[in-house]
Amino acid sequence: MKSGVLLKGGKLFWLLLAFIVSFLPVLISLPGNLVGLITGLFAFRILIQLGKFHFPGRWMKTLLVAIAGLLYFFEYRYQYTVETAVNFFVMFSALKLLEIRFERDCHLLIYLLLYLNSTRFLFEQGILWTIYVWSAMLLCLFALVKLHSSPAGKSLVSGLGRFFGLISFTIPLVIILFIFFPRFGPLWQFHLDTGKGKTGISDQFSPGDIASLSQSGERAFRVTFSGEAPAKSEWYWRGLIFDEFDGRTWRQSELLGVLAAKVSQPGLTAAQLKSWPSYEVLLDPTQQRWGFGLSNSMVAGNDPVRTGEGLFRFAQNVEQPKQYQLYWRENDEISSVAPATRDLRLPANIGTRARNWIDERQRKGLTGSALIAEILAFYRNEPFFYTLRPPQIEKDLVDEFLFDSRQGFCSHYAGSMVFLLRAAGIPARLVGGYQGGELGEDGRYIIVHQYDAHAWVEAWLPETGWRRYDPTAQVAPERILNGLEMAVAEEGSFLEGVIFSARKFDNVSVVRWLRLKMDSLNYSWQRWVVGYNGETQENFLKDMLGTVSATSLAVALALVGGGVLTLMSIVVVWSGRRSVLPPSLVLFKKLEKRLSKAGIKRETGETLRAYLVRASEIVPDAKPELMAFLQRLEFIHYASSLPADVREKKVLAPMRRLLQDIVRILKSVQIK
Amino acid sequence: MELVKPLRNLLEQKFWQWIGRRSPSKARVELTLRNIYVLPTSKGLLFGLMLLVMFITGVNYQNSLVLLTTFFLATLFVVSILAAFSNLSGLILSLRDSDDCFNGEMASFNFVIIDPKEKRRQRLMLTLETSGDREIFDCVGHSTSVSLGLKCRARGQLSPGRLLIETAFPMGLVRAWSWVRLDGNIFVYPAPVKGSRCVGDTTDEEWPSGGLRGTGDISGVREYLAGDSLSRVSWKHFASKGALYVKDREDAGRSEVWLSLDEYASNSLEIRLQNLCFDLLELDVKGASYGVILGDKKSARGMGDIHRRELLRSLATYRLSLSGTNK
Repeated sequence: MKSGVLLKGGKLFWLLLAFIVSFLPVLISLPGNLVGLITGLFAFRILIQLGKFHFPGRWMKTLLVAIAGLLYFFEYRYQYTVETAVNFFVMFSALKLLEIRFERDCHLLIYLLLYLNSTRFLFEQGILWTIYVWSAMLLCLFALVKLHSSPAGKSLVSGLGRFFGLISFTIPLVIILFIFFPRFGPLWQFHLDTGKGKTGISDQFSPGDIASLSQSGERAFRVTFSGEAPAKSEWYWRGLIFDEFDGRTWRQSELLGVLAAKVSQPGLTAAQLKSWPSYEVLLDPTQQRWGFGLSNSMVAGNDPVRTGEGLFRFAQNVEQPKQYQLYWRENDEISSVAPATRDLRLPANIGTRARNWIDERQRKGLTGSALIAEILAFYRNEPFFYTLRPPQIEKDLVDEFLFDSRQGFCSHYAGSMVFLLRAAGIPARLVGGYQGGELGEDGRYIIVHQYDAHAWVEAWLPETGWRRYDPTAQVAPERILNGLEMAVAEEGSFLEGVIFSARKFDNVSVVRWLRLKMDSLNYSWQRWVVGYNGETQENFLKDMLGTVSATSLAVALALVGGGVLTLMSIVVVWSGRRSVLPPSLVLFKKLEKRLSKAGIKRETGETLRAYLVRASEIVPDAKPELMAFLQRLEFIHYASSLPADVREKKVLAPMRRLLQDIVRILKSVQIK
Repeated sequence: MELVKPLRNLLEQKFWQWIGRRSPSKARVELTLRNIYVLPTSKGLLFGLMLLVMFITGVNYQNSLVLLTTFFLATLFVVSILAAFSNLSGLILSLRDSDDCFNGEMASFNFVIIDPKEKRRQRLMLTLETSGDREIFDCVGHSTSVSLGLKCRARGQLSPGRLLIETAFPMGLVRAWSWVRLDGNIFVYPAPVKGSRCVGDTTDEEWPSGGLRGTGDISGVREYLAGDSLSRVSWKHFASKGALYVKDREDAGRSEVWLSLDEYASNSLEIRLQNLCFDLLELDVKGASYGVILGDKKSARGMGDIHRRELLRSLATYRLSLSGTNK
C-alpha cells in the first residue's frame, strides 16, 4: 500500500502556483474544450484538497484518461505538428495533477512542468518570453526546494534568498557551457512543423498580396552592416523571382528540388569573401525556405545556399529566427547569367493595348535602354497614383491598370512594367522582397518590417546584363526614400487594419523610443543568445581557439568548465573546514606563536590573562603593549553591552598594531 | 542466484569493512571530505532523464534557448551536489551521556550535533541503523541534540552502532550521507524479575525480616553522605538548617544484606541474574545497605545511587567478555 507524507499547505501552494504559471501560455493557444478539461482537473484537485472529494480510484482515472484522449483525438485528428505534440504532453501533465497525493509524487509533475516550459521556446524566443518562461521554471524549482525544506514556517524572504544564492552559483558554469558546448546538427530529423502559419512574402503573387502585407507591422528581419551601410535608396532586399505570369498571378518557376545544381558563386573562395564588406541578417520565422539579401551578395557557408539568380535558400523552412552572414559588393549589374526563354513568355489573351503601345515606341526606333527610359518616363509623367486601396480590376490586369485606373502600388507597377518589357522583347522578371527599413536604436542596425514588402523589376540587356528598375520610384519616390508610411500619409491607410500597433503611435516620442529600445534589446538577445549556433560559435571563438572543431571545443570546455567546477568545489570543501575562530582569537594565536618561539609557551589550562601576564613579566619591555592587547581581547569576549561582532570591529585594528609592536619588541629584546 | 548470494554477502562484508576503516569509531566525528558520500537519488536520475530529453529537443530543433535551459538545469544538478555536501560538511557528531537501562526497555541515545560555523543546515536525517529509529531535523545555531531509541535485547554493554546522517537538501536530486560510529556505551542491566530465593548457607547475614516492605520508621536524620539517594534527602531539614540531611531509617543500619547469585533456584544464569536484579532494586528502595556476590567476586557493601549503579553494571557485564557489546 502506498504511504508517505501527505502533501499539504505551503508545499502544495507553491506546486499549484508553478502549475498555473507554467500552463498559462499554453492555455491561451489551446482549443476551448481542452482548456475546459484542464481547468476542471485543476479545480477537482483543489476540491480534493479542501476535502470535498476523494482522490479518484483506478476506474475513475481510466475514465478521465479516455475522455481526455477522445477530446484530443476529435480536436486534432491527424494533425502531427509540434504544437499538437506539445498539447498532448500538456494534457497528460494536467492529468498527473490528480495523482499528486504524497510529497514524493511531486517530482515527476515538476519535471513535466520544467520540460513543458522549455518547449515554449520552440514557439517564442523573444526576451520577454524568455523572462516569463525562466520565471516559471524558477517557480517550479522553488516548489521543488520547498518540498525538501523544513515545513516549519521560515520566512519566505530568507528561503528565497537561499534559493537565489543557489541559482546564482550556477551562472558561471552555465555561461561557460553555453559558449563552449559543441553544437552539432539534429540527431534525427523531425518532420513536424511548428504549426504556425506562413508569414511574409509568399511564393506566388497576386495583386492583393503586398497590400495585405503592408497592413502588418510585424518585423521581417534585421540587418547589421559590418562597415558602412549603403544609401537607403539601395536597400532592395531580394527574396524571390517571379518569372511566370498567367495574366492574373505571378509565380516563380524555381524548383526547390533543383536548387543544389543551381548553386553558383563564381570563382570565389571563402577567404576572398572575408575581405568583402559583410552584413548579418537575422530573419524572423517565415515557415518558408527563402532568405533575403542585397543584390551581389555572396555567402560563405552552405546554409543558406546562393542560387544562380543570386537568391538565398535554406535547407529547411525557417521555423526559428535564423541568422546568416552575407558578403556583398556594390555593383549595378546584378547578374551576368544569360536570360532564359521564360523571361520573355507572356500570356496571349491580355495586354493588347500595352503591346500596341510598345509597338508604337519600337516603330519610332526606340530599343534597349532608350525604350526602358521611355517606359519609366511613362510612369513618371502619366497621372499614376500610388495607393494601397486600388479599385478592383476585373478583366485585363495589364491594360486596365496602365491605361484606365492608373491606381495601385508596387506590384501593379512592377508587374505591368515586366509585361511591357517582355512585349518589347527585353527579358525581364518581377522581383519580390522588401525595400527600405527603419534604423534601430542608435542607428546601429536596420529593422525591416512586413509593410516594407515591395516588388520591382529586373531586366536584361546584352550590354548591361541584369539591372534593377523600379517603376514605383517614378510614381511615388517617397515610398523608396521614406517608406510606406510617408507614401500613404494622406490616404491614412498605413496599418489601417491593425487596431493596436506601437508603430501607429510613433509620433508619440516615448512610444517610439520604447519600441526601438525594446527591439534593440531583443535584437541583441537574438543575435548573441538565440542565434548562437555552430557558425556564430565558430566566429566568436576562432580567435581564442584557432580552429573551432568539436574536439577543440570539448577540450576548452573541459579545461574552463572543469577549472571553474574545481574552484567551486574547493571553496565549498574549504569553507566547511575553515577555522571557525573569531578574528581576535586568530590574532591571539599569532601572538602565542611568536611568544612560544621566544620561549614563552602557554601551558595547558593556562588562561589567556595568566599567560599574557606571565609573558609581560618575562619581557617587561613589552608589558604595556601586552596588557593593552589583553584588555582589548577581554573587552571583545566579556564586555556585554554590545554584540560581540560589533565590539570586534571596534578594536581589531588597534590589536593588529599592538601585535606588530609586540613582535618588534620581542625581536629586539634578548630573552634571558 | 544461489551462487550469487554468498558472493554478494562477501562483497557487502568487504564494503562495510572498508567503510569502517575510513571512518573508525571515535568520541567526536567531524564530517569531512573523507567520510561524506554523495550520489544522485532515484529522483535525481529521473531528473537526468528529463534533461536528456530536453537536450535532444534542443539539438533536434537547433534551439539555443532550450539548450541554454538544459545547461542551466544540468548545472543546478551539479551545484546541488555541492550544496548537499556543504549541508553536512563541518558538522561534529558526538554522543552525550546516555542513561543505562534494563533489558527489554528502549535505550535512548542522545546525540549532539555541533555546527561550529553556525549556518543553517536544513533537513538532516539521523538514523540509528541498528534500530531504524530516525529523526528529521534542522540544525540551527551551535548545537542540536537528537535522541534515538534502540530496543535492548540482551544485557551487557550496548553501543549505538552505526549511525547514518544524510540530507537530500536542497532539491532531493542528490543525497549526501555519512556513516558514523561513536564511542560510548550504555549498560543494559538484566530485566528485574521476581524469583524464588533459597536462603542459603553462603550468606553471612540474615535477610532482613519482617519490615521488608519499606515500613521502617524514620527515627531521625543523619548528615548527607556522597552516594545517598536524593529521594531520601529531608528537604524540611534543608529548609530550616541549610544543610543536607538524609532520612535515616530505623532498619537501614541494621539490615545489611548480601545477595548471592548462587542463592537463586533457577538453572539459567540469565534468570538468576534477573532475580537478583529484582531483589537488589527492592533493597535499594528500602535503603538497605547491600552487596552482591557474583561467583567468586564479592562487591563492597553500601547504599545509594552510585552504589546501585555500580552493582547493576557488574550484573550487566557478568560473564560477558569485556568488549561485550552485543546486538
